[in-house]
Amino acid sequence: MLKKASIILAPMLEITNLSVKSEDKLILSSVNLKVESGTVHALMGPNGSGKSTLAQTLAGSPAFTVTAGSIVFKGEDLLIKSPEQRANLGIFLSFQHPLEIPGLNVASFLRMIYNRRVGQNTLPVKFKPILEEKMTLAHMAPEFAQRYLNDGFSGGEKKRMEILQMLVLEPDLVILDEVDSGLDVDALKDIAKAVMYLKEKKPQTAILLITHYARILNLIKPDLVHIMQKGAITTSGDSSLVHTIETSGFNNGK
Amino acid sequence: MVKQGARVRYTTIQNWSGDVYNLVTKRARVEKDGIMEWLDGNLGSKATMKYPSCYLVGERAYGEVLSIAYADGARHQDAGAKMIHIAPNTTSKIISKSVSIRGGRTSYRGLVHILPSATNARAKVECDALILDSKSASDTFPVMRINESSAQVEHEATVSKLGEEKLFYLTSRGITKEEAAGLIINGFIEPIVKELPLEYAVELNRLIELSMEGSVG
Repeated sequence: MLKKASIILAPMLEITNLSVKSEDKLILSSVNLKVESGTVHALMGPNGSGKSTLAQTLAGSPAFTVTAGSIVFKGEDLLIKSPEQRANLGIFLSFQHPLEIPGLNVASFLRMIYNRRVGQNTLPVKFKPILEEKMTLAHMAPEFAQRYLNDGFSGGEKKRMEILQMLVLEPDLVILDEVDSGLDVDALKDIAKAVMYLKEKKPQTAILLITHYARILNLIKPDLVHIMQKGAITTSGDSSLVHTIETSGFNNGK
Repeated sequence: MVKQGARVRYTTIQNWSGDVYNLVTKRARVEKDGIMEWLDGNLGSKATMKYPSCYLVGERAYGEVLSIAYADGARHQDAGAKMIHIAPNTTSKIISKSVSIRGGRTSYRGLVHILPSATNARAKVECDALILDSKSASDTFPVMRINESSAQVEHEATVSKLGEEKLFYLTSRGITKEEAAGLIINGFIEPIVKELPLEYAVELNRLIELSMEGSVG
């Protein structure tokens, strides 16, 4: 008889009893979350419940202080790592409000972060076709390559630029912080398509999708849905939870 | 001396050692339809005092000063420009960008003088300062002497700090804090750097990257 080898895989991301404060105000208290590689998690909840704080904390924002708990990513203690070390481990955060960097050329910045991710120096002539392919996937016009990073971009263009950076970096864990807010239906479809492209190319990629709306979850189907209220995850379940929230709101989602 | 219809561009990038007092006089006389452009970058020296000037003596003469001052540590960059409008329909533009870091001081000292003989003169001044830490400082001393009522004069000034949020945004893409700060500073001076000949531009960006090493905590 053939015995199936039992392989115990640790989750890609494991958040345990995480408490976070900002300027003496406790924002997250005892958050627990496990994300296995290749899975899609949706994190929903009302405004101010701490969803963005969790996203920013995962990426290492200096605006927040972890007061208790742990975050382990691919077996490494994330809390002792700087934002760039976390990025190089494969964490990517799509910012809810991407920042404008006047004077910073998009193409040369993307080449710089691409080189860091792949660990070698790719010459501009070699990077050009790579970038062109990713820009097509993000539905961005080629002239954006020669603009300054997010400088004077519309809200929708900034979100596409985040997605373009995701495609360039091909991270292992993608955190999308309200990537769907303020987008029209077509832009939302483009972004969902780009995320699904990455998932097909790299099936082990995990996605943590923070949103208020079910709309995007029809395009990027979650395996698990979590509801955050007042700084803690109060309910977790499968995608049917989305419909419960849609019909009866967050308070009755339990 | 810029003769009728001529165009002169004078580019200087200076990086003196820390024991040099760099006191410079630069003057241009611009005749009818002439164009004078001063491009000036100051990095080193103990103290720099430099105010390139244009005397716009001919009709429709144009004067421009683009200047970058970078004060690192015990440096004082006191830089600016002087535009003297003497003839009618003369125009001028001053763009000054300064960066102060590790206790460095920058000052913008400028003069726009529009004489009664300079009817319909137009002048524009833009000075932007980037201050990198709490030890560094920047001052602005703009003087506008307008003696003619048809003049159009604009003055814009901004002061910005190296934002923690911008640094986090860039480092979250996998680059170090020093690299991120270098990108933000080079982006800040980019509008002037892009006017420079390529070798100068590369040199200036390198100097700033070098100076950033180990500077951001």
